[in-house]
Amino acid sequence: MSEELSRVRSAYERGRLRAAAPWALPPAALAYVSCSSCMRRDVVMAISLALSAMLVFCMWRGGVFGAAAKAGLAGGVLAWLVPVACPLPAACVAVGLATGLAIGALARTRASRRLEFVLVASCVAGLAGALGCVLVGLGSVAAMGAALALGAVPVALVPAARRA
Amino acid sequence: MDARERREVHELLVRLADGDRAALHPAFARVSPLVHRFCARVRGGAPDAADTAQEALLRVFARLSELDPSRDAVAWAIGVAAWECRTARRREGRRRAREGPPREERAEAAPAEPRDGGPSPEDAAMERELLEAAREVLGTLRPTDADTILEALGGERESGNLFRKRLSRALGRLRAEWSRRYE
Repeated sequence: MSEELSRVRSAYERGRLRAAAPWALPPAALAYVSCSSCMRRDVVMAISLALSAMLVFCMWRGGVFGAAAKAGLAGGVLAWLVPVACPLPAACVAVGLATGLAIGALARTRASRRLEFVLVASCVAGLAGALGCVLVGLGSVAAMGAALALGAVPVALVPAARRA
Repeated sequence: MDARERREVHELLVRLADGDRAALHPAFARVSPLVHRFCARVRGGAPDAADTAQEALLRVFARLSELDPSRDAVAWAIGVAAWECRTARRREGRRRAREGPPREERAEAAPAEPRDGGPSPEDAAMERELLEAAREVLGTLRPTDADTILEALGGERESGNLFRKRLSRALGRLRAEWSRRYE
């Protein structure tokens, strides 16, 4: 029984890893576009690898990590797209703040483990957004990250107003 | 397996599909006998029936990430096990075609092979499952409705107008109950 259970556990983990592996591809696609118009290719590649590893880990882990990674990637793609279309520092800050607010609002809909959700989703969105903001400059990447945290954390952590 | 038990197994498998490892042990304890029973029925007296069940169980858990939570997880698990049984039977068929079975194995494996013109073991097992489900649903109907359907099935009654109306009503209720449970 215990041997069979451990074989089943290994099969389950392998299956989850196999299902999570394709999530390494979206960062590669974002990085490909960023690399084509950016001089800092080493930075782009490093961010892309970190994002791929994080996405695969979160999807393999599942639960709140998986949900947060999906939400973070959706927000992160927007945060990547805006600076690619409009390469200005202000655009990075604005999109970082907007993504952070959206992640915070999403976290508030969760009954439990909000902080983990916000942290994971913000990290994923921040890394994806950084792939776009790196075209503007490393300062813009930092500004976008700060704006994202500023938007996400307070919204997620402020307790909901009680209804009368 | 009754509806409550089925729902519990479904919930365990859905939790596991979402990555909740705490559900692994209870899900294994509930799904393992189910898959072993199913494979034993489908593979009949095949010598590798236990191995097939093991493979099927591993396959069910390996593919859990693909589970759609809106669909019945028990039916999904049985579907995966059925596919594994079919694969094992084909593999065995190919092996037999290549080298031919030993005499004693031939005698043991004979019940697992489809009879000429008869249903295959998978079809027979599915038919048994279906009949069991039909019996279960029939048991929830009012006795008069169940009797009417059984009489019609057995051809025991002359088909008069009154009987036809009763049968139509009984079949309507059967259909509704079936949809409520399985659709």
